[in-house]
Amino acid sequence: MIAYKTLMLKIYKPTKSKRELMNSAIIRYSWALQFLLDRYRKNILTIASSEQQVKRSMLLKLIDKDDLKKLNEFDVEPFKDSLKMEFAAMAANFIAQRRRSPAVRYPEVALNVLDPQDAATISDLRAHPVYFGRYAINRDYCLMYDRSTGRFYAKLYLLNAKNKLIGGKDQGRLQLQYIFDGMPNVTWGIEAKRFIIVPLAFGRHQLQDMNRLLENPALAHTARLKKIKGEYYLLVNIECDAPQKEKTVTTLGIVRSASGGLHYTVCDKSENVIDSGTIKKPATECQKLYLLAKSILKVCRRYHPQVVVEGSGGKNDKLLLTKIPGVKPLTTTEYMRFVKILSYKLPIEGLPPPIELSANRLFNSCPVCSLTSQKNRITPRLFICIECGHASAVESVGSLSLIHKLQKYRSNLKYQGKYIAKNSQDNGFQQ
Amino acid sequence: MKLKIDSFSSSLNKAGEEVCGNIIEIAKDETGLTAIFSDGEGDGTGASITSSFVTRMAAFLLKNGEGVNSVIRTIADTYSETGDGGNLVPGITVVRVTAEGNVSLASMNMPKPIVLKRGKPVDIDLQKTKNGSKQVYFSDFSAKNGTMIILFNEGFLLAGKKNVGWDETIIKKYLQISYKPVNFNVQKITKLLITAAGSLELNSPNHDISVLSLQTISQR
Repeated sequence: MIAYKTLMLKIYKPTKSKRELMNSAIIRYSWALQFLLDRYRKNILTIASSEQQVKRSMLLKLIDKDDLKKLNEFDVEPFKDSLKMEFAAMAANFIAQRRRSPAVRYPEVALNVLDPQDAATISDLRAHPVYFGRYAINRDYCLMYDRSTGRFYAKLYLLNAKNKLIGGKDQGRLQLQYIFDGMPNVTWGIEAKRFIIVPLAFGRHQLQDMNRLLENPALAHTARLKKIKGEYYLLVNIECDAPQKEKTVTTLGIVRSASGGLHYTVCDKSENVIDSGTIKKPATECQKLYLLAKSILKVCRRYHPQVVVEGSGGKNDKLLLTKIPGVKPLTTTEYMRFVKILSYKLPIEGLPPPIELSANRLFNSCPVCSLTSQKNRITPRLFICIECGHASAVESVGSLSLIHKLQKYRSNLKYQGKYIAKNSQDNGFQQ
Repeated sequence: MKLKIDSFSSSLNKAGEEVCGNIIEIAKDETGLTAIFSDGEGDGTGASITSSFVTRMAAFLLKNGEGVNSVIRTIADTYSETGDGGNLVPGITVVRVTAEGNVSLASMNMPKPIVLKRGKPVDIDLQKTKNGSKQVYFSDFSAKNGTMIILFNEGFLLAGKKNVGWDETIIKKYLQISYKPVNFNVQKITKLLITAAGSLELNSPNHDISVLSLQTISQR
């Protein structure tokens, strides 16, 4: 099975003129995309309200030749195919969502800049990233490698023939090779160009993937040019081998902890607690959720568990019955973001994505007898079940309850005869 | 009105120990009930020997007509100070509940009992004295229909104390909250408390844990 992963490559210290070109490209691209979305709003809404089966080809056919010509007003000739593909994808996505929930809004490409000239001065440019639909030498984008220095570069086609760059620098000392079949050498002079060449910066992990690209350039696929907090990034999708799925032998419940970190419990198949602990809130707010996810992954590597987390970010889980001064757990939004991080990090480790279970009154319900009552919370930190006497710190109760809930759901599914192995694997369940 | 006295006790051994260091003996007759609850210092066989010895001693004295208070005084006088001669002082509580509802309670080196009347914890008058380093107290009070006396050892109070603040106040609060007028008997309350203490210690206690519950019920 083929899997894809996105490499986030930073464009290293682009010059002012290159920044302006990239800003301008992002804004022109967003405007053109918005133009298509506005132009075909009625058609898409009609399709959404019908029960007609939606195919990508059908959505692509919506765009007529005249409208494609009108796109030239935005100087987006290099991105026309990308715009069509992105329009079709956004429309299909909207139609699917609207059919599920009528409250879903029509997509809008948000912009806070009116003129491309102003864009360079704005650090947080809220525009749609430019999509490069092909990996090619003479259009869209391509990666390059300098054998003498070991550095990587990207060649981005951002300009149309009308606005070609004139009087740029020549190749100089660079000995570049395209990361493409046969690794051809790159040559260019001072003639007018439709592309810019930018150096790339990245970390150790990405370097491994880039080296794999050098060995097999066919692994590179689409990419996006994005501006994040004043910096420019090239998000490249590369093909990778899907990690082998490991058979889960334990269950790991993760809940928010009152101290701002997380609490976890690991149980074996017979629901005996193997390990339990608290991951403290990282000292720095920056990258807090990633650091928490990293700690959880360490536990996962040790026990190969099926991870269970609170659904809806732990909304109404009753972790804190009243506000306690100085006690600040993760917010529901933060917890949701943490779950999102886990849901892509776990499959990389060969584990199924986390299962989200309702967190409604989670910290008030007993993991042993399932009695849910606020009386069980003797103190804000201590839980003692009034029915069976099970006692524990509140956080341990939450994580253990999640595990028991999962077992209960599984046994119910088995009982109802709906426990189909194929579906269960897709959902992360494993027998 | 004559009262019937129910009793129930339960113990958890320290993890890895085969013998419990706490001994509970109950003697019932027509006039009432006498219970001896002893806690040997330490754990395992050594504690079991100490508690067996002190229990035998108390039982012998009671058999020979000594009163509850007198038994504890004698035992307290018999044991030397901790560390003197290598003797370890055990804890012991002796309770006598008569069918008329008179309760005599005497204790040495044991936590204060909890008394519930219709599910609400009540304070009982305790006469505290010190015999060397040994804490001795006596109490006489009357029990009515539904009065519960809950005795436990030091190990019970130490369960999970570091992590979650399990103490006498919380135990009282828990008993009050979990009280139900119907089907709330000594067996249920003892099991609840033992389960709570056991799960606080993650089912592998660091001490021997024992609970003895007595309840007076009017005979109809």
